[in-house]
Amino acid sequence: MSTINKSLAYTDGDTLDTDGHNKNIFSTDLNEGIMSVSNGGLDDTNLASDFTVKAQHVAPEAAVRVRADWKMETLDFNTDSASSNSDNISYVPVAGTAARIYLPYSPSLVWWQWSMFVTPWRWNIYDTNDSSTRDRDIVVVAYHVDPAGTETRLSHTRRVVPISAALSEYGTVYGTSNVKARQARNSLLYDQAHLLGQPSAGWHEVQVRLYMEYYNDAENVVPNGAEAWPAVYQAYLHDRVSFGICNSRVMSLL
Amino acid sequence: MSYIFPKRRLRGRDILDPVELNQDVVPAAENYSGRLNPHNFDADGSYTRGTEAYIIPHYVEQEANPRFGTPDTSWIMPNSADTRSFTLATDIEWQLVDSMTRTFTTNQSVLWITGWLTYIWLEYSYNSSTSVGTHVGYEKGSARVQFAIRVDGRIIEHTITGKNDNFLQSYMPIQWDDEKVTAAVLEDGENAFPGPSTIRVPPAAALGPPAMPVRLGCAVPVQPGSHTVELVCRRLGSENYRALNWPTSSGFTVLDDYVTVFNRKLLVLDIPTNPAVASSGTAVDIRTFDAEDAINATSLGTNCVDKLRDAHNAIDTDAMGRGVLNNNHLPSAIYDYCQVEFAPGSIVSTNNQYPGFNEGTTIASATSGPDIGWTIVHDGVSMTAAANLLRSDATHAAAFDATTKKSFFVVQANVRFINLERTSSSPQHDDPSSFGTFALGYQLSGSAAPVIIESTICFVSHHQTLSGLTNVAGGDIPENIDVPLFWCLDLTETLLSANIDYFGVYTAVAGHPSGHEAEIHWKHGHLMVLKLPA
Repeated sequence: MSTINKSLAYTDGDTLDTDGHNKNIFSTDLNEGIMSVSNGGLDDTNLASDFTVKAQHVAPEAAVRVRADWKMETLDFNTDSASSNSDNISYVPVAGTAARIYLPYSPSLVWWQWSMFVTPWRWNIYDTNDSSTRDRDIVVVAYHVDPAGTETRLSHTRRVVPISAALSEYGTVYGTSNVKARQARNSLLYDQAHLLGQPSAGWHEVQVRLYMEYYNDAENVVPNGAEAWPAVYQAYLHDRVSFGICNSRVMSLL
Repeated sequence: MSYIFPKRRLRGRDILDPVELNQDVVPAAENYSGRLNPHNFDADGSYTRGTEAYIIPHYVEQEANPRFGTPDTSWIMPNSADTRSFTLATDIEWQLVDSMTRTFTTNQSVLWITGWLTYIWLEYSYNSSTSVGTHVGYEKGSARVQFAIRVDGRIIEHTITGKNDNFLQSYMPIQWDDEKVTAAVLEDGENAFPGPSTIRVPPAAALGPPAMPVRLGCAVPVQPGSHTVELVCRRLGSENYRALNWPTSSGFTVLDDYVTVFNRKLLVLDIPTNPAVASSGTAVDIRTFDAEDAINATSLGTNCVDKLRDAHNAIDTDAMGRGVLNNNHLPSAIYDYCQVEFAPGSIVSTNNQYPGFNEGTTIASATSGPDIGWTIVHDGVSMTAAANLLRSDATHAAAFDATTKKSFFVVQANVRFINLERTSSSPQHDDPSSFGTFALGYQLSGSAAPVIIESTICFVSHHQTLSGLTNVAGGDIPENIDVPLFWCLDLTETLLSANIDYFGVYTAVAGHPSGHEAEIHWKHGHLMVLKLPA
């Protein structure tokens, strides 16, 4: 409570009480003195009953702070370069999906949101000899990095990139084509979000990472898969994930 | 203004000098009249009064029904008969998604923009005699649609749902064991040698699935003035994309095909960053003293010290300077929120049936059956215990206040939709006429059941029809689409009559021909609810 109280009521005919007058102007006691209380002592009890906080009263970015980033270029990730046969948990950051924000204080909430266009070439390989199918994992998942550098995987953001191509391994059954591509049909947008309640002050970041399972298959493939071609040749297969336009944004709320 | 102190302390035998007397009161009057600043206010204060001006929402939504029908009257394939739907022209030009535009005036601001819609590449058909459905793009086609946000006539390029080069050809990721054999040819028939070669494949620079909900957004700074924000779309229509190549007796044909947008929404959160001062200011007019003036209760008290005290005890809105209040002064920028991070241990499914677009109160009571009604997205363990559901009361047991404070709710969700499959005795993996639906719902306090929000209903389909395209490859290949959901509840003008117990995510299967039941599968999910001050 900072309501400024009256130390002296001026009354006609009375001798001026200098101590009372001085306290009306400035006092070391609480709730006294028009100068002393307004030296940082005013609070919401001093506001008029119809007072409204307007946008102009809010210091820039004091209540809501927004940051954004993006990338336009297409990035191709191939299993022969983005995956690792020695480290099975190798996650590669995806450019354009990270939003970083500096929090000068601990806000009530931080809201991250990111969009990424993903167009994959992920094989599903059918073995005509034993009728088995196989494919390799490709996963995107977001991580939060706190001011201390501690990383937390945001498991709810985990998504498996769809299969987009089929290959029948050359066997006893063979038709005019053994490769089918459905990359365009499986081109997707991921728009995901994450909330962080009362994070500590400092730098925070959420970034998306990609995992591609390593493999090294050599298969018999018709070079021109879309047309009938009389010969098959051996080729090494890889998966590819292309990231088109990505953007990320983050909002902190007091 | 800065801290102020009296120039002298009045003592008992001092002569009352009008200059010194004025110096007792004038600094405080100047302080008030020159706009109070952060130095004047207690950093630990709680400024709960008044209307916050942190975020100003601008929202528009449009419902449209693809008219699958209901289970009672047998399903039909989706169509654009609802005049509220919007069909894209296939001419590569950006066009406004009908009614998705907002015009408003801002200060210097950041606009946090979110657009959402559900589209279906139409031209489905169903042969009742063979019980097989088909689609115009069954063979190779992709929907090839792009969406974006447009602000003041300029496309925000980093919101485009595709690539920055629409004609960039992709390549097949294979590496020939022997790069220089003469038989290795490119798609256009040219020999691949000499040197390394790849097989180029058609462009993939736009969204491809035949049915999918899309959410996109950005944060854009704007200058003071009037601004128009739009949700726009285009359909890539070059021959590279349109050559669907269905062979007929007369050769290959380019087919007519259309993509139609159904439910859709656009939200703009205007966040002022450096707003202009919108008021003329205020002042406290006190009596000052000249030589020979009488000092009495009126001149020194009522008209001077008392007036200053009263002004500082009832500070006018316009007495505050620009940017006075910082995070230590201001109330929170959010009334309430919750987040559910949903990660079941295994894939979950249901074959419960979509009850129809306008049947929002028909909720399934069993996990499968099939029952007719919306099924809460659950983890396969329980579909009633909140902790097992993609529902806000999993982490926010208390009801959301919707009856006392003017506010604005933003509700978002994501679900990892894995696949749809037909589950009859002879599954036809390549039948594309099975659909899945997702929607948001909520339950009011005191209600017996939740209500599905019609404007959030969106659709996915079974489009991984690969088994018919290879000779023998398995057809149970999952779609693996991320399904975004989005809704805003505007309580800035009118409050509800009851609080909201919870928000949740619901699903069902739809559109599959009679006798060929379908099953929808999902796994991870996310739900967030924000209640912002209005």
